[in-house]
Amino acid sequence: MKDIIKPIIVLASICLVVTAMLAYVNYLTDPVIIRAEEEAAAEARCEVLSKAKDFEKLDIDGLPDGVTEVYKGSADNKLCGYVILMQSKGYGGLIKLICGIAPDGRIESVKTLSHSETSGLGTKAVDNGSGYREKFAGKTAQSYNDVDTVTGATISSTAYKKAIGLAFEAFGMIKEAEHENA
Amino acid sequence: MTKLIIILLSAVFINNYVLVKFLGICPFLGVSKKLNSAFGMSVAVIFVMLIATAVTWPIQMFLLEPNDMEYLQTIVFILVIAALVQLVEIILKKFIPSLHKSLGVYLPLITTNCAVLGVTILNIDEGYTFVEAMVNSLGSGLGFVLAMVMFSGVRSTMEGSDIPKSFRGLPITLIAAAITSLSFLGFGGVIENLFS
Amino acid sequence: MKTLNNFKKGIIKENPVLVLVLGTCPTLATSTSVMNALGMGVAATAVLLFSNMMISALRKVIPDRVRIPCYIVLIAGLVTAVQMIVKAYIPDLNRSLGIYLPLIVVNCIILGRAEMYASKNKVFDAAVDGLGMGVGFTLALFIMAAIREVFGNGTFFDMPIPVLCDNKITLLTMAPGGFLVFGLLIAAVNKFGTHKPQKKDFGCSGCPQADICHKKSCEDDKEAAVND
Repeated sequence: MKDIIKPIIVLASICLVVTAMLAYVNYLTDPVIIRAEEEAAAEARCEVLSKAKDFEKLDIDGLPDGVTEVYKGSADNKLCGYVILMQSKGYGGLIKLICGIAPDGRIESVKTLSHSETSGLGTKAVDNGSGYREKFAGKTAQSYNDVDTVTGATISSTAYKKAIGLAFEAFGMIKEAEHENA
Repeated sequence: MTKLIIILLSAVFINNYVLVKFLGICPFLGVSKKLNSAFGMSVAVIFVMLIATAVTWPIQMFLLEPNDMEYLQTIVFILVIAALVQLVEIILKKFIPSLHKSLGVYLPLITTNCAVLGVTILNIDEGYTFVEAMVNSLGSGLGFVLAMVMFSGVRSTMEGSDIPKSFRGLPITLIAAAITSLSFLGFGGVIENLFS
Repeated sequence: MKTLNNFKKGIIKENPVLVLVLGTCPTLATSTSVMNALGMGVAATAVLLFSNMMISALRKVIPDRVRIPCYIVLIAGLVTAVQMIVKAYIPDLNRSLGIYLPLIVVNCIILGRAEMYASKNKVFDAAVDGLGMGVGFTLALFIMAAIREVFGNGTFFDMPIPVLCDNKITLLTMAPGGFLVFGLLIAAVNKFGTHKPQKKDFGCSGCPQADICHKKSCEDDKEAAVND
């Protein structure tokens, strides 16, 4: 009997101690993790819609598949534009982008949040330093498709453009919803 | 439906667990010498991946998340997988001895296989529904079979060749794996565009 | 002196990656850039050091029959703690290591050292062994990552290197490059290493879990080796 009980007690107590330890570490780190994530998100929002100071998260039903979050950006109670977070599937996995669109429907700036594209090929489109994202500045829902795909990164840049298309789709819906409210 | 097919095919070809994601390298290099054992091992892996997903997904969604205990994910998953493998082995031994004879020897090896833990965690990270998670596990398992069987073929042709001394054994096996992995790069992006 | 040798063996003579060929999955997956490799190496070293110490301290308490589940719980707990700390203070590293961070749990080096060394030795020796093995693991990862990043991406610690950054061998940073560089490195160790190339082929018998799991599968392996 002792042969059975002792292992059970030891294993159970080790589990308990380890879980208690983890709960404590979680208690210490959880607020830090949340704050770091929020700071990073806020920083990205400010970067793509530089004029705005305050951001308000919008809840809109039926946003296209791939659009994850939308924010209204304003400064001194004046509308500056909208920030849209979207994703689409590239060569190596999801490409997550953040995009700021001015009230007149022009892209202010786009930025890659995360991607898993091939270094040296797909990164020619999705890397923030590659110069590809600057080509979309000032584009509208009609003209964004004129931006060429990057040689050697066709799939990645197509996915990039697809995500931007989603952002415009969401933008249209936001405008409609705001119009109804007003 | 299209989404499920895309998940399945991507898991088999594009994000192949062994050749692209580097999960489950130990059995890939260790058990791929003979076709029989390569096949037996991979069937056992599919089996365990499916059961593990069927159990860990509900645990995460209905037990860990509602109670804000996501941080226990790793520890709970590995214990569940270990216990599950033991249980499956006992059940097989008792009720289907013939299957136990062909799969049983591989089962304990799988407990600490990173491909199994990897697939259960990735299913949660990707935010899959239960059906999608099961399809993804099936695809990952099939990808494992494909890589193992292909690679055991490559290794058997290598058997008789004259290899420089310092390359004998593991180094040449790894270089053959590099070439096999290269062939999978060609699938990237293809499957997404099949349906668009 | 003995302590120094104990520490050194993990780095050169029994390097876990290049000589014992353990922990291949994280080695291949996270050696795409030097930063990732160092991050993974340090995280795994921390887990290895503490798991060795804890298991050694508890070696008289843990009953033999449930030792593996006990080790796994301890290791998984440490890995989760490391993961939370990385997430809180170095979120970029957490993003680039992704799934491979929680997968340190199934890194065979850690369970292997627990079973082969920590469960039989004093706390201090186990700590030195864990540290040595961890440094050896980090070093091997660093060498692999340096080769892959310098030639594959033309950078070192993200700083561009003249000439090379215009002539990248992109393949090296992709999946096949991992296998290729690893194969060449082990061939180099076999050629120039002071240690004789390992006789045992890489199979079940080379795995530290061989004793943990069924002996039978290993016997099958041996049989196959004899038949060859």
